[in-house]
Amino acid sequence: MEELSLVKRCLSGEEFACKQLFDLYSSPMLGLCMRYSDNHFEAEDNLQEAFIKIFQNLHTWKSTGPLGAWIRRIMINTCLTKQKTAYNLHTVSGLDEFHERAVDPDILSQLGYEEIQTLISTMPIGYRTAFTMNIVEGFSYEEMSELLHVTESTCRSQVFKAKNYLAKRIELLHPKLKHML
Amino acid sequence: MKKDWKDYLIEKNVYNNPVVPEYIWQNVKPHLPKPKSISRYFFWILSLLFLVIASIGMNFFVSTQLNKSNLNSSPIVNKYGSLENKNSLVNNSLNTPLETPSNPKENKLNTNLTNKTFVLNQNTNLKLRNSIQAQKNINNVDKIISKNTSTDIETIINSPINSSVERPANQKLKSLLTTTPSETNLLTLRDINSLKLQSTNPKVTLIASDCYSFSNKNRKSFFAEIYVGPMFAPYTLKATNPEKLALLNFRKTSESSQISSIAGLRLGMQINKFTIRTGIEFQSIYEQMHYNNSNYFDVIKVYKNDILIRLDTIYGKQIVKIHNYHNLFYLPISVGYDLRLGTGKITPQVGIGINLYSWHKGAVLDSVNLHRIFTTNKNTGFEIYKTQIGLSAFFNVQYLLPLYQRTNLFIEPGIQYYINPFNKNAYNIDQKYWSMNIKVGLKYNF
Repeated sequence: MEELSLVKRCLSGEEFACKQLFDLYSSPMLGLCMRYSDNHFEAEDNLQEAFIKIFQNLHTWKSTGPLGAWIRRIMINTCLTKQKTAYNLHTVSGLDEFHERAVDPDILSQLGYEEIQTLISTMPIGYRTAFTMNIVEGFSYEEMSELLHVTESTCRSQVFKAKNYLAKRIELLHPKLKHML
Repeated sequence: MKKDWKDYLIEKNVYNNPVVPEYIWQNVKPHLPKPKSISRYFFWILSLLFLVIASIGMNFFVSTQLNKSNLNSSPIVNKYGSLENKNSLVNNSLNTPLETPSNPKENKLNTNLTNKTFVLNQNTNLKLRNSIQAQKNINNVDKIISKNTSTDIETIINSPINSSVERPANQKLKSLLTTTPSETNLLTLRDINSLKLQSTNPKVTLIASDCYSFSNKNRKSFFAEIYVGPMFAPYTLKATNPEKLALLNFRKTSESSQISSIAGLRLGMQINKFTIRTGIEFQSIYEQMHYNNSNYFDVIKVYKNDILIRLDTIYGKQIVKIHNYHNLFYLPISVGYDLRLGTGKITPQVGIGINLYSWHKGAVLDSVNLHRIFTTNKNTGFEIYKTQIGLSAFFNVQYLLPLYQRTNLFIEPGIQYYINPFNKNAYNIDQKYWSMNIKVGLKYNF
């Protein structure tokens, strides 16, 4: 009900209500954009573009679902469509050859947010997209395949590769911890 | 339970909220939703609908009044006491007294004269053009026709035909929405991403490419439409019996089609780009029957003390103007396909109409060139039109403009062909119709 009243106030042209909506969702959405973007500037650009779309089409939101989910979906689609290059997703025949590398949670607990962010942002775009969508955002492989226009097996393989890549990078980042792996 | 390493990443990554620069809000601000002045548009649309409905109502009212004044099928014969009718039109300048059984006056006329007087009932549609030539020489009176001094009949006859519907409203209504290619007011992600955005940097134009929509592909939605509009329904007359050719000519020269009206309420379902509509529609086909009878005569019986003392025969020219109506209730069923056109939408539709009930009012000429009333359920013995017309086929093209959130304005020209003639088989003259109409209305999406 609060979301509905806030949206109604926004649609009636109340700027203060729109600012409230922006302040409520802009920060977490910027974090989401940063996970999909190459750099901070691109993430801010995506955030701005997505919020313009959100305000221009706010009247189409139906109160049957949460507003946050609706905004989140627009944000993800905006980020994905802004990616000009291909996702560098390669099809593989089978997944048996891939063994997921495990990382000791104790090592991860010693990593800060900025380190993890750097690790993810420096991943190849295909790995980063697949990893963020599956691990961070929680998309299923089926949803990923429909969104990225690739097969499901490709999505699975990319996620596997992304995890292994990340694990390997963590090893390289913290050689002192290598012996713990 | 030991956490997975991914959970740690999520914990450290997802819940971190970076600081948003202020300039982003400043760039988003110009694109905020603006308050829309809907009341003005609604006021004009409601006013237009009110005027249309009022004009249709006036049309019916006038026709009802006029039909009351239609002539009887038989020639007028004044009954006892009618000479004292206050609506009598005897020219007072003639100084010709009227004799009544209750108030006999001295008859100043020579009994050898053939005094001919003419009395009209004010409620008739007759209008006498020939002036009265009264001869003061009472020995030589042949024709006396009094000029109608009353202005009421002239007003009725000369009153313009009430066009039942005003012209369609101003079609140049600006869309209240931005360029939004929505088909059902539910903007999918595909639509969002196909929007062309204007960045604050004039050098950069952000165009989002098409993106997959997770919404249900087979979208169904429902809508309601209400409309009114003018209609023109010409018809053809064809004699099925060669003996009726003379009557056919009488009718062809005396009848003409006029601007009619159409109104209706429809419910529809949209499945992707296909639409199915049905509802109820009212059509009022308006015609005029207008003819002159130069050989008109009327016989008046004059009584005195309940004794018929003489018969007065009057001759003149009778001008008759009668308004005919064919009112139809239809059940239209149509199928359409939506085509995008700018911010609007064009929907060609084809369908059939099932006539639920028809009733008719008015008169037409018969084989002896006299007009006879064919009004339904009046038991005139001349009810020549059917109450169940049957099927009709139609083709419409609807142009839809978005107006407000779920409300759209549409204009819909169309043509309709009535498969069966309106007359009964026994009448021997087939009267077949087709019509052109323009519907203007509002569509509401549920």
